[in-house]
Amino acid sequence: MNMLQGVTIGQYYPLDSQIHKMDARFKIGMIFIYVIALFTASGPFAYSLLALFALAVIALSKIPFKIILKGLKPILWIIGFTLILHTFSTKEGFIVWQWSRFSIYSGGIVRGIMMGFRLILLLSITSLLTLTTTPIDLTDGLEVLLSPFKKLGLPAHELAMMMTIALRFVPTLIEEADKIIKAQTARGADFESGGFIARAKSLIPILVPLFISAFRRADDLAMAMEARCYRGGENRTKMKELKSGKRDYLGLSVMVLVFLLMLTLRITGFDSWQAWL
Amino acid sequence: MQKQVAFLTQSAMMLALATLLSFFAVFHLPNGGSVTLGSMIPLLFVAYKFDWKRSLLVAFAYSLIQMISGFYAPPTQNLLSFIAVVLLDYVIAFGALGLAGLFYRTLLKKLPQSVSMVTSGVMTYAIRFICHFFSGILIWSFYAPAGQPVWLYSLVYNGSYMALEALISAIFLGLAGPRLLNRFTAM
Repeated sequence: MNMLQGVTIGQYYPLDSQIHKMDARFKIGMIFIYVIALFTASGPFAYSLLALFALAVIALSKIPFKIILKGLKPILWIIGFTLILHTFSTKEGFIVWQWSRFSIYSGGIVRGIMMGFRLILLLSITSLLTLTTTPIDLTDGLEVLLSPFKKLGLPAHELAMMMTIALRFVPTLIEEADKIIKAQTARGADFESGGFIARAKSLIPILVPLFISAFRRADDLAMAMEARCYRGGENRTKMKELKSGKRDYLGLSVMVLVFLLMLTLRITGFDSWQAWL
Repeated sequence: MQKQVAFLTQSAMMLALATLLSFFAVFHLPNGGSVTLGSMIPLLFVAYKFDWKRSLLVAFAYSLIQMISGFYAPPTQNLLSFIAVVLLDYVIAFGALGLAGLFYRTLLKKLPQSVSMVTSGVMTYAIRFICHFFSGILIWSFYAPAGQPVWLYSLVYNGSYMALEALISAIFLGLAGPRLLNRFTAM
């Protein structure tokens, strides 16, 4: 049973780059703006600009291009499907190719490529966030970004605390699960034969001790927190504060500018894809 | 012991367990969704022990953990359906856990504990399925060729893995659920 070896939470790819060093809060904000800009983009010029921006960010992050491409693999056929559907369903521009009832218009090709590109950019830029930011940093960032919702009754601090503890203990529980699996195998437990029901049943000797050990850990941890006078979010300080600097403000400003450009292009209709036919 | 701290650590540990179990995927489907070894069981335990507000908070924390450990951007055609699909697949789908506790406590008045646990668990899976079903329709309505019922595709696609997962969880909850839960609530 090697299914637990090499399991990591998230997709974080540790490197030393400008993008890795950016403040998680800014990165989350920038992703939001990028996704909105992507859906605002109206024509080939806008898409090329967004693609260039994404390429620049990927280059700055030093993440190997292979890894980004690997992330696109699962949706490869959706991208292909999008391309084909838009190509055949759009009836604008001039006819490029015709065969009995089927015809391809120039508008269809332009639109198909645009939509395919949108999916590629959407996936690669969102995966870039989790590739360059650790889950713990992301949690800290989310805590800050969600804190305005405290007024609506969302306990942002408790939420982040819970997530941080959980993320911290996943590797511990993985080790625990590994031990339990080995111990039960040594007693002759068999996890790999029988039908579906038999296999589901064979999990009980693993899951029950795992639950019990998690309960016990929760108890110990609560005791430890009590002993150190944990009293919730008010006035609590952090060991590692999120720090924002020039880099972050620069990144965010560029992102906002790109978005405003997309908006202008869309409103003026200068870059509408029909205008390119 | 302070109640709030106990709630925090207990639900955090259940979150860790749920995240761990979600790694044990029996198989992954090509467009998102996988059969895991009952990764919702620890969250159901939280729902059975704490009130709906706290279970909702834990469910929200779980959806955030799922997102930050690998966000799968849905291939939608416009921003509105993008937001709708993200909300449906990540936030609302797990928000069903807020209801799990209500179901459980209502059923417990009339039925034995193990039956209540299994039934409310399966009902929670059903609600989660409805969320994925609608998000599937939103994504695929564009792709399905004319005349092909999108809902049927979404039903089969999402139903297949959700049913298997519900079955695994039901077996576990039925056989080991009550004893574990009593231990958990006694803490």
